Amino acid sequence: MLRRSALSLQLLSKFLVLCALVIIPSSSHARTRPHYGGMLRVEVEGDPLQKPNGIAWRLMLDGLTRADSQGVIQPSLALRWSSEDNNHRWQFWLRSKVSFHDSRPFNALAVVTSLEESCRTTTCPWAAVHVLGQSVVFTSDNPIPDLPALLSEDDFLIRQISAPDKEAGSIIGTGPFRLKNTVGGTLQLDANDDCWQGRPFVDGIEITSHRAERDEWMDLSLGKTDLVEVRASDIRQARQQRLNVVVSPPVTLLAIEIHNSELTPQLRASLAAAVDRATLYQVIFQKQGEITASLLPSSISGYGFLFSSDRDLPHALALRGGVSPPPLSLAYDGTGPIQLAAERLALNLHDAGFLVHVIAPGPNGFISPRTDLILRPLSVLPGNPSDAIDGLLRRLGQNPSEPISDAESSYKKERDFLDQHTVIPLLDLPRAWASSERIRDLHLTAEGVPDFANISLGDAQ
Amino acid sequence: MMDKRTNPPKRQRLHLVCMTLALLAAPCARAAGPWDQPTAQLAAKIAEILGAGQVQLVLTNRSSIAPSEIAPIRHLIEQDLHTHGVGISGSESANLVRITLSENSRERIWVAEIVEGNQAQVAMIHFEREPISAKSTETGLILEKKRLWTSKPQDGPILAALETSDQAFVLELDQIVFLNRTPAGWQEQNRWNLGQVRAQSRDPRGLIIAAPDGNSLTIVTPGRQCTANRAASPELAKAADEWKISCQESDDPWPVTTNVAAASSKLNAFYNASRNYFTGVLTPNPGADLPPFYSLIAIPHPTDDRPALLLTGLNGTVQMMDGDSLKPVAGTRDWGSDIASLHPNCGFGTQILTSASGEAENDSLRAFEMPSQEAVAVSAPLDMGGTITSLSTSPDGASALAIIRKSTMEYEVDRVTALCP
Repeated sequence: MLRRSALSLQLLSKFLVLCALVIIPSSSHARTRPHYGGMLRVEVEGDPLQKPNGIAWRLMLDGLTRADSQGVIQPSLALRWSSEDNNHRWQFWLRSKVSFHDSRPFNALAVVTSLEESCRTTTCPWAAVHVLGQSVVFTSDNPIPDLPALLSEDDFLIRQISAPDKEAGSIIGTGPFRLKNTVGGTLQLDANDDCWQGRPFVDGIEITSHRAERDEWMDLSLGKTDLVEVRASDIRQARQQRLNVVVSPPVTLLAIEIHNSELTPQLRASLAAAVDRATLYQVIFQKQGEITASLLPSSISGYGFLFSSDRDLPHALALRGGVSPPPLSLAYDGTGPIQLAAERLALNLHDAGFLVHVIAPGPNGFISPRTDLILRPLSVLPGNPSDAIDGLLRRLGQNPSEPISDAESSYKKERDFLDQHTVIPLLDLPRAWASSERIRDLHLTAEGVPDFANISLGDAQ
Repeated sequence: MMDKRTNPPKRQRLHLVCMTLALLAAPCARAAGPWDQPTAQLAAKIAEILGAGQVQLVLTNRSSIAPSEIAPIRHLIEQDLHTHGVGISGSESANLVRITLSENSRERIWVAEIVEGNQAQVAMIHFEREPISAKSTETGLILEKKRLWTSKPQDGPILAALETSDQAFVLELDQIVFLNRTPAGWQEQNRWNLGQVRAQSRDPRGLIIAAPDGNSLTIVTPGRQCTANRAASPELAKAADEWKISCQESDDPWPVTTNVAAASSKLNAFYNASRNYFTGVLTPNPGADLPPFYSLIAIPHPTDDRPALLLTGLNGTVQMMDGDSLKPVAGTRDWGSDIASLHPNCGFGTQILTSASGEAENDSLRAFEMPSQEAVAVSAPLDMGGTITSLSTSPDGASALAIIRKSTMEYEVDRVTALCP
């Protein structure tokens, strides 16, 4: 019964998409410069304010640096920076004439206060950060070669921190949109007229959270929303339904982290040889993204083919060598296709003699650190291989050491890490978004998120 | 058993002699091409690992290099390996060199996997991709672009640019940059702050207009107008310090028909400083009410002595003011919001240069002629490699300056010239 209603819903969805295509008149005029005005409506499956990668944070807050669409680190609230003492000391000079949404001035003290607050919830690689005139200085016992790239990440966005604000739970930044309110699962943002980068084109954004993907597509077909996220595994279907889909380059590495330290290197290598990436790619992810056995996607490194991604079950069995490994738990960090991938991987590993039971994430996505294996999507910041690999290693609990000078040393660093078999890369996945006809020129940022401040609406006057 | 290395047979000796002669002749015969340096680098790295000897060579292309280029690249690698004493043999060799021509989103990566028995080593080189030719290629007018200036991301947007015979000027949000001509191209000489101006629009616009004698400039930004006057002595005036600049808050209309010679035909248009378009109110009144527009140029009228006005509207329509009425122009469906006129010595004498779209990441320019109320394309699109944010005719009318926003938020000033066929 449930299946039949799901089928009916799917047919209705297809019919409505076709109707919409017939009804929408084709534009009779040339394209123009962007128009101002209008309300942009967005629906997402998750929470736009989830930490750290909820899409709303970057609408309200800026970082000291930012990654451009190619992933190259560029100035943002900091105009320039320099390092001394072999990357143990960094100084960032701040932009002037910038103010927070509440009109208070942006300055070095505000940056230090904000970063200290960030370090309460996130591991910060620096020992101290302090004010030096119109600049901030980071000092550290260990070198931080990738600090400019690190400061572009969501964890270190700059927000106004003061006692009354903390009590009210308000989010006050320097970004292109300011928080208006949250009503019944919908986040409402207004354009920041005084934004230092210029006022965004739309007057505001409404982000509805926790919408099921099917409902999002239906709303898009009916003209009730303008922009919805499409799972990598559903890109093909979205295109078949003639949705206007924009797909990013690979920005997520799906990988298994091996946390059981009692597994021998041979057993870990056996696990790596037993996984069947081709099935995940073809069946679960519908040939979206790329199969990988390396940390960095080939679009960043150019040498991904050097890491063999073929399943080699005889080799996996040989590496296990008749040893009976203990039963292993495999948790997955995600829903839908990630869960399916975890179940499929458990079968792969079973073929090589491993008994694996799959564990769903707990409330709020909690995964016990005692889990033996965790299937997790890891965000990869495109750009230069040095920053990308250091960022990934940091997410995997490693401390980057020396900066990488060229492709050869990047390859060596990756090879040395992967030869330990503590992480098994599986797939490089893109992010995708489907948009309505109202939206003009949808561009994605380096993180695969729409560049909301530069979206304009075709029907705005 | 005879040792092949120390006592080669007669046939092999002959082969070696031929190879040596070929190698000696090669540097003379080989013209420097884009692959010479990378192939030499990679061969040197391979030889460093392998030493002299025989190898089997396998070449795979995983990059965007055209298949027709692969054989010449392989030939170059073989030649370069020979110079290091590495000869190419068949599958009977115990050593294998697997070369993969790869790339990432920024550069080319060439990888050599050197397999000696059970041991494998990897050598890599990386280099920038070759620049893509920037000429439109169809018959008719040929559009050619030359990059004059590139901004740094922290400088913010470039609003306008102007090039004269001995100087060029670049207008940023709150600064004007003076450039001097040098053998290496335009070089920054000085910057002049125009006063505190905040970004009011994500699509900010501006103008720089030179007086006919070249001794004064009018600089217009949203809500602000500046005048720059050159010092009396031309020798002194070459230094940017000799420009005297004064600025004031201003809502005065902007001069929009600067390419018209007759003073009576010069028009000024009011600009909406918090948006990115002109309101449609012109001074003096041209005789008809105009809708809000993005760009307006004056072109020779097909039948009348007075110039006709061509404007691009907010809704994407292109209209021509003919007498006292506005008429839509056919054939402008692909036009963007920015237009400029060119006067090369061919065709109808005046061409209209137009962007293809307002926001595309890979905007292009194309030249049109208007023998009647219909626009006819007379050039192929010229790829501009970014979004065109401004287009203006040079003071002599022979070229146009286009400002391009790159994906990295760098801005580039390109001079676009129409070459007659």
